Amino acid sequence: MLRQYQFQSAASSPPPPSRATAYHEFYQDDFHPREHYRPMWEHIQHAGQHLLDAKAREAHLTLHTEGVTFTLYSDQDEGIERVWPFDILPRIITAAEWRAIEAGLKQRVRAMNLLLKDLYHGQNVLKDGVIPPELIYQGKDFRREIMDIDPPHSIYTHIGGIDLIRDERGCYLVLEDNLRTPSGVSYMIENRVVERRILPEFFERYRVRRVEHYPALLLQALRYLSPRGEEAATIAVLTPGQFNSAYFEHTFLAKEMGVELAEGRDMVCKNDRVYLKTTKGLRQVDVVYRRVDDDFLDPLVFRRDSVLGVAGIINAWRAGNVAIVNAPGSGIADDKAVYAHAPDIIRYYLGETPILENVPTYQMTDARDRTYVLDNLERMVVKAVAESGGYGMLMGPTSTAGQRAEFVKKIQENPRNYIAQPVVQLSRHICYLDGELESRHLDLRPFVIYGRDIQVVPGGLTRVAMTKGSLIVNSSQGGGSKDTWVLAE
Amino acid sequence: MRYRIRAEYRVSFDEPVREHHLQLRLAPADDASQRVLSRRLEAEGVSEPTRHRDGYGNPVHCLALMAPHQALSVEMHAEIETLLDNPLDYQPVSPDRELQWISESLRQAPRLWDFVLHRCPATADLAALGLGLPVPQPRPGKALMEQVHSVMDWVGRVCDFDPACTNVQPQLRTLLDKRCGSSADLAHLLISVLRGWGIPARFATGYVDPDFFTPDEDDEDTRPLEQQMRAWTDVLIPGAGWRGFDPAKGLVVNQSYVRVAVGRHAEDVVADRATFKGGDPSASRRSLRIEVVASS
Repeated sequence: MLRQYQFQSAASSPPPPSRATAYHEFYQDDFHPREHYRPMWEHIQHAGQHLLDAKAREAHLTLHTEGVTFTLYSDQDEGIERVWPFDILPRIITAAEWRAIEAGLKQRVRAMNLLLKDLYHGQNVLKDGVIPPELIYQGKDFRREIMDIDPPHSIYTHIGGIDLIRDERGCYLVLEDNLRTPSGVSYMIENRVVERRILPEFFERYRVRRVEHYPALLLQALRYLSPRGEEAATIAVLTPGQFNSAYFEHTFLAKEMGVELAEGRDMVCKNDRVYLKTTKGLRQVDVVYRRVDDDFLDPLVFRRDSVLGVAGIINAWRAGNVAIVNAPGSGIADDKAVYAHAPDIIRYYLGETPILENVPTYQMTDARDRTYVLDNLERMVVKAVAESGGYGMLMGPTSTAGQRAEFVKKIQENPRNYIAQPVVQLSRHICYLDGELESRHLDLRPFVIYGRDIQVVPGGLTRVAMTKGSLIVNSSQGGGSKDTWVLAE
Repeated sequence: MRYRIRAEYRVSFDEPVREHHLQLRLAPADDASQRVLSRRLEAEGVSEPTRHRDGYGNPVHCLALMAPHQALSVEMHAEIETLLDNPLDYQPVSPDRELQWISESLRQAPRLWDFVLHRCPATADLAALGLGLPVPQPRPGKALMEQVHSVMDWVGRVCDFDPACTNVQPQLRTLLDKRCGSSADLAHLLISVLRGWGIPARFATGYVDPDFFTPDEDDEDTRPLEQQMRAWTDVLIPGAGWRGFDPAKGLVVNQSYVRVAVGRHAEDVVADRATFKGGDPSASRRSLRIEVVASS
């Protein structure tokens, strides 16, 4: 009966996919290096293959010795620990480019934070028809359990890892907003540490901005959230444990910030306060940087069978006695179907024109979009809205007929669970692979910290599709990485 | 009507447990149909229970017992005045404007979308189940109140109410195979039909007048039943707001009902939710004893 009154999708249908060639970060159209890459190019030529081979081996050995690893899951779900894949040739971003990226990321995170505050309180964005209410209420990550809770300083998205790509025109576009528990920052730092160690001569030719201070910035932001004040703040990183694929990062960040690393069983809630169990008794915790998904965070509120979380932590948060980073419920803001509305969200809350554009996105809840996508599946990337890490995705051009048929069924059964995007030819960059300079596609995940103010670490994790022609950069899917240099003004 | 309500919750374990956290939805709150005159929660050996409202506005009491223990007992006492003398006494909206009224309500209060859109196996889309069951369809021009009545009657015909049953069928399909269920099951079935029409319908639980559990005077075989919490369906009726429909009794909810909690389905309003460490979770025994007395 009411279907006729439902809001129409606010996002307009995107144009047909482009077939242009990928933008090259390193080369200009005439196959000469871009201006800011020339010093590096000269050095590569001067160094020669023998030296670069040695540097690549040294990088691998360093990462191996330092224990910089990640877990690759096979089809059998048996985790395989691998040394972090790293290409020695850095990606370079000019100061002017970075200025725009930084401003765009700050704008986006500020708007998304306002969106979350609104969704969990007055819901004016829904009342005003900016986002269709069905999109939110059918979103897996919309958490009714936290309605009307006020997080410290009204901040939900303390840490963001926003994935950027560069399209065929060379424009930076936002590919995904990762606002739950984005990972990869430890690898960003380790990449820099290794790069500095093995290629110090590169750094002599550039004024590269630092990224190593990320843990200090994060610690500062976490302290700011402490309900008992910054000086008294006790902070803990809550990890699911050693079997989690990002466990390396959890230990890394706890160590670098000098805070406790704890599992759910190491904490207890009492009188709406969270405590760490220590050899000297219970110690109150003020800020929990959780790397545990919402579903597992509190068995009293979310999944009852969770043994990874802390029973009562949501009540402590509700009472204002602890800050949880990122705030529970943040996932709805990086739902890929909500992502399509990000430009409208920015305009609505900030009254500003979006600085960073979105990748055109088709909503599978829209009948017209859905028909178009199903008719052109081999030219599309289909993504499950609440998945990350490259899971639940169909890469149309390289898919089999069987895989496409499977996705047609999935989309028809649950259209809200999927979006589709035209295949964007991610930009390319040279990599040093097996003694050759080869071009590979890549993206960029810069990290944004929202504390007293919003800060973007100048750099990020550049993820590289290591297979020739592949557009899949996720490390969980066999992707590699590069150090990312942002040049000083 | 005035009711004095006593709800006694007990849980015991074969072996000592610790870090025992308990959330209870037993206490009624003020709303348009009832007023809380007094309310208190008592628990032995537990510090003062804390209270908050959940995402649906339901009052929730939280308790924690850290030390090893093998039993926990909590009592809720409340005195309530119910106000809904005649649930049909409201200014109706003409049938041709009812959908517009609901649409505007959804626009002004987007939280209502939960009660239109949500589906789970217990409130599944009947048409999608493909059971071949003739499901009631909306009739344009008829008042919604009248139509919901008809659907409630249909639920009563499709599924018998078993007053002794306290379980909730997790799947609507199973319920329709058995054709017999608890008040919660029947409420789910009513919700399923109404959400299929796009009408906001929510699951409600509460206490009912003790007369509901007294034997039928005309039937010598019936025996007094132990008092239980009751489940019914709240429907957003144009002009009236939320009105309850109890398909187990075939009644529109009136002053004989005391609302405790509302949600999308039974899982949202469970009376108790607990976690603890130690002991065997499957070896715990829980009981909820309810005593409602009409005081005027």
